Amino acid sequence: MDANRKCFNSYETATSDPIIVIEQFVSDVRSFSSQYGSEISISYTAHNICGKPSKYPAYGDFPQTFVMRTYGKWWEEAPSRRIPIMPQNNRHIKSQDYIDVLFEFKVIPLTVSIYETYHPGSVVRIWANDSKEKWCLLWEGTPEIRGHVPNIFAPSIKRINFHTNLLRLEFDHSHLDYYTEIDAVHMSGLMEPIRNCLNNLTNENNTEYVSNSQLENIQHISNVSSKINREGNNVEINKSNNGSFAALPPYWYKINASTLNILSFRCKYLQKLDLSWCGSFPSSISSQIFCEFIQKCGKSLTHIRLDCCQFVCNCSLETISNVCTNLVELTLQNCVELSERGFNHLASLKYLERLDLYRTVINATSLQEILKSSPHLKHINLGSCRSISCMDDIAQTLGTYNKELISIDFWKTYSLTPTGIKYLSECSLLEEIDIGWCLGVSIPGDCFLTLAMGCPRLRKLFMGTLRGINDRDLYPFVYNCPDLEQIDLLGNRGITSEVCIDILKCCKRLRFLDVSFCQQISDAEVREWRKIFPNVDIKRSFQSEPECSWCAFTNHY
Amino acid sequence: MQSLVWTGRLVGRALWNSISNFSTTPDPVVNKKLEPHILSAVSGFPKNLNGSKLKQGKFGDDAWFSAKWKTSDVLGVADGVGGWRDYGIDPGEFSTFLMKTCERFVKSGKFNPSDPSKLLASSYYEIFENKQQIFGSSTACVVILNRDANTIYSANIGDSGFVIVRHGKVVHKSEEQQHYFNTPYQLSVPPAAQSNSVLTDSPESANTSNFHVEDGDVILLATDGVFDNVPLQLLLSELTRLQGERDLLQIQKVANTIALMARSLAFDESFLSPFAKAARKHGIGATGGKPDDITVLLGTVAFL
Repeated sequence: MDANRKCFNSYETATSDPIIVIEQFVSDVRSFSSQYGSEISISYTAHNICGKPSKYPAYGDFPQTFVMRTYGKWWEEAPSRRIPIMPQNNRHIKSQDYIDVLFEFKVIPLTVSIYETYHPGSVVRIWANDSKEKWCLLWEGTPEIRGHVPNIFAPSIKRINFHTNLLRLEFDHSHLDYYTEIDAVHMSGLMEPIRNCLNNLTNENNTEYVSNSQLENIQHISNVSSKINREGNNVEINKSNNGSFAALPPYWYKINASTLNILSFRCKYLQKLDLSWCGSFPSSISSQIFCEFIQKCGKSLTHIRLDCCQFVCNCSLETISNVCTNLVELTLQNCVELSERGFNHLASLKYLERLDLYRTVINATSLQEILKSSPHLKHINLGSCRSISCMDDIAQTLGTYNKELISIDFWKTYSLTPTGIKYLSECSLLEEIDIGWCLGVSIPGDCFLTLAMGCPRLRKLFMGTLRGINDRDLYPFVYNCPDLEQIDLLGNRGITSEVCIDILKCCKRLRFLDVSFCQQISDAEVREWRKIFPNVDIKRSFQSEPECSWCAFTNHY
Repeated sequence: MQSLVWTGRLVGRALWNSISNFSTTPDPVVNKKLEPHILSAVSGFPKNLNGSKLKQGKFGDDAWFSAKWKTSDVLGVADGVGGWRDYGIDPGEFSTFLMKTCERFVKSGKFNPSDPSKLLASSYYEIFENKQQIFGSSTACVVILNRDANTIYSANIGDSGFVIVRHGKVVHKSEEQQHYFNTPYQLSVPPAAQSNSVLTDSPESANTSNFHVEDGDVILLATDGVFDNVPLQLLLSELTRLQGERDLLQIQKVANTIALMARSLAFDESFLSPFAKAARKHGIGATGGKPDDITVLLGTVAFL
């Protein structure tokens, strides 16, 4: 037994039976919706949530913690934002990310403590799983801003009467100033439902399993709706009153085979389907059930969102590409089961405008085929796609066949080089490009000049940690892209304050500038700029270690 | 079916009983196979005693770690190349990051217990994943005791290193890797401006070896601050005293002795140190020790 992970407290109760309280930290991560770190790394990744806290009580931006991909409202304001399907359907407390954490021992939870080491306050829901497919809400609350202090967040949780070793944490970080960082999660609980003790607990025996009969909500949301999407991007769909939409992520814990079945009777002409986060267990929705559903009511589907759906497999893609021939949007974030065999089917789709493949293992050949057959592609997310060995080939295909592109996300793809960037400059409508952590672009040559000349409509430019870039590489954007709103320059040591001042002066629409870890820029300068340019949110992350005690000669054996 | 449930309950009850009695009555060890463990202690000195802050895991520009995971004990030392100070870069940052990251990989179980060079390489590449950009270069030596195979696997880049001593004899030692005199192989991340003028060896160029250990073997991992100043014979006489030692205090004492010895000899201007001898071989007339950061990571193998 690994003694590092837990300790056993036993104390006497009124009766002579000792109660055993098990205290444990996370032993493994089951799934998650996004992470800042890359697949091949241990920095800023979800697995850092395992084990005892490694940084707490330090406060700051540390690679040893779990960091999610986004924060604040910036991604919602970017050209690549997704139009929400049925926003009226959201819970009153929304969430953008989740993580499922596993513990070694199944216990009846007494406390759950979340160690937050940077921008605390984003946890909005804690769920417990009963080892089958039922989820029980332990706690729910509004997101908060708790200031720049490390925090152990331990809300009082609902008493339940089953054992669990799987928790889901949901996060809403849309109000935060910067990335939230989670160091560890601690759960204490009872190993055995000792009778005397449990009397107290089961008195509150109102543990609400969400029953299958509670389907009013589902029925409600499947109602034909014509007033959706006031945003107006899908006017042609709204005109036809036959169109119906289903956005189920707020109900991810309720969706199973039978709900899908009911839905399939009610929505013959479904146009938009959002099943993201649903089917967290193979038993709740199987890939076969999903395929049958698509066959029954997928003919008019234009939008399918399947982020973090573990039931999505190669045959699901085959069915989708056979049935939903008019598909415009397909998002498959974190669908790790998919392989070349499935992706190859997508090449038969002709009208794709948005394709989101974040953290999938698509390879270059399949992707190129898809890109060639989708000339109207507007948004593509290839972040953390680790199986694409040569991103330059992809960039070349994009530049040749997908001239309508508006946003490209190449986040943490290491094989992109300046050659690829030059190909992208062919996409003259480009408004957003994320090449953060593309280490292959570290020494850019003149590729940014080409890009800035070719894509004058750029509004969002994320180029974090392209280690070798300097002021000269940024000036083309200052002169050629007047619409720039968001610029991320994190971790670029070569950038000086000179170019930053010019950016702040010349880009009149600028709202966001991240100069964290740009070591040639001082904190004092950043404070000054914030005063002079109050319309721009200038980000400056930091690390602060607590003073080290005299520990070098002790603590070690 | 009923019986299955009952069996389950019995097993569960038995398991629970064993846990609840955990602290009071430890199970007697019955026929338990003895496995090797490394009992280790660390000692050292920064070259500049006045100017350096004391921080766990480092002595000046040197860094070290020791960590355990399931069937492995892992030790490592790294020596940051001091020349970076002239470029305004703290040389200790690189070596410390390398060792700390090795420690994180070990503690999260994300390493192959028979491939220390992969561990070193993973840690090196992790430098590029950090938001805070770290420059510098470092030598490094990592050894993994793999209990399943009773074997020590080692990877070494540059002139840090290790010796394994058994009954007064050196039975295994690392090989020094040098480009030329006083210029060891090194892992490095240079700033763009210096990238052409800096020696950069890939982590894959590490010298690897494996060696079967026995109960009582003594392992010394140290940076060149020790090997350049203390003659091997002198080291041997100290290390031999630890043969089969399981008392951590004794191990700590010897580690302190070796560190102090290296420190004293380093500042002895008349002493013909191993470093001075090597210099003379290269036609450089030198006497005296070589003042440097000193890290001694000393352990014995105990089958427990």
